[in-house]
Amino acid sequence: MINCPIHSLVVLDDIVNKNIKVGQKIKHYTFDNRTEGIYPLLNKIIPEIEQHTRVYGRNDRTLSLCKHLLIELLTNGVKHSDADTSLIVILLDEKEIEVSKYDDGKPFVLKDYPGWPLNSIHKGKKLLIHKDDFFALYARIESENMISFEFEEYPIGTLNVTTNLAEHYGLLIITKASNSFSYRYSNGGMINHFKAVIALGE
Amino acid sequence: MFESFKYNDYYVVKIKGREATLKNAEKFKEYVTSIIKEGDHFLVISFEGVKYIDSTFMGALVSLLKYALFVKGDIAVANLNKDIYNLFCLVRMEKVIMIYDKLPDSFTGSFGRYSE
Repeated sequence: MINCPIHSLVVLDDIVNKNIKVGQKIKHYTFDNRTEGIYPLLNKIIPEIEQHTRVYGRNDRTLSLCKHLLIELLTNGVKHSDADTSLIVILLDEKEIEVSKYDDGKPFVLKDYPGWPLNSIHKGKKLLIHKDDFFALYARIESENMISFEFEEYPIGTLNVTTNLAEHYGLLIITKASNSFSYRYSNGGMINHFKAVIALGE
Repeated sequence: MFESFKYNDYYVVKIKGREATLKNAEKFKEYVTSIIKEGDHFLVISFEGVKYIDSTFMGALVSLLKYALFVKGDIAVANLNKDIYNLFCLVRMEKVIMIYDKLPDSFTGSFGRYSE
């Protein structure tokens, strides 16, 4: 059995029982949500993904995207989760790499929205997360417990002192590095689940 | 953590170590801000030997770029490894900050910002 908190065991049990597809490999890691833990953990996870992508003949860019996505998910855990540990789960098959981070810390904060659960009447609505002169990042309400992240980009002209340039790139990096990126808040279990999927073969 | 020196018509700031992350982003901001305040407004940040960068460090870099532009200076980067270069391109930072393969002979001014 793995050495991790009880919520991790509940989550793992749930994944194995309900979600794992035939042919999918599952790898899981406990992260202590400390800055010092990010790169040692990355050095454990990346070789596993590298081995998988090598088998399926994928390119270095996919691996690079996985690396950035993981760095940002782990950094998000350090900066925002307020939880002692996170569980990182990687599901691998010949079509995609799915990276999840679970923790029982603070739920994701949606600016100008009252909180979780979301109102299902707002399903499909886009809520602005950040915007500058070059991009906008949105959360789309998928259900009362789930949002997906989307971005829009604008043309980049000459930069000057009046250009509005954001200094927050974490969620944008994950959104752009993946084919889909979502967040689910399980109110009953009070579990935060960020999930990013990178399709192989592109 | 960092070292800096004058090189031709600009100042170089070298990040020492393998990480440009949450761990050293705030110190980096303080270090570079003090160089700009002392009057060196054109800087190239060298990432030679740096293996990882995260969004916090990138945010610090953008904040410093805005400050450099405010004092009519500029910031460029050099010696990015492939992963870091990929990240810059992913968030289109290569259109915002001039990227050099190695330290240039002179600071040409990113994207003709000073052509007017």
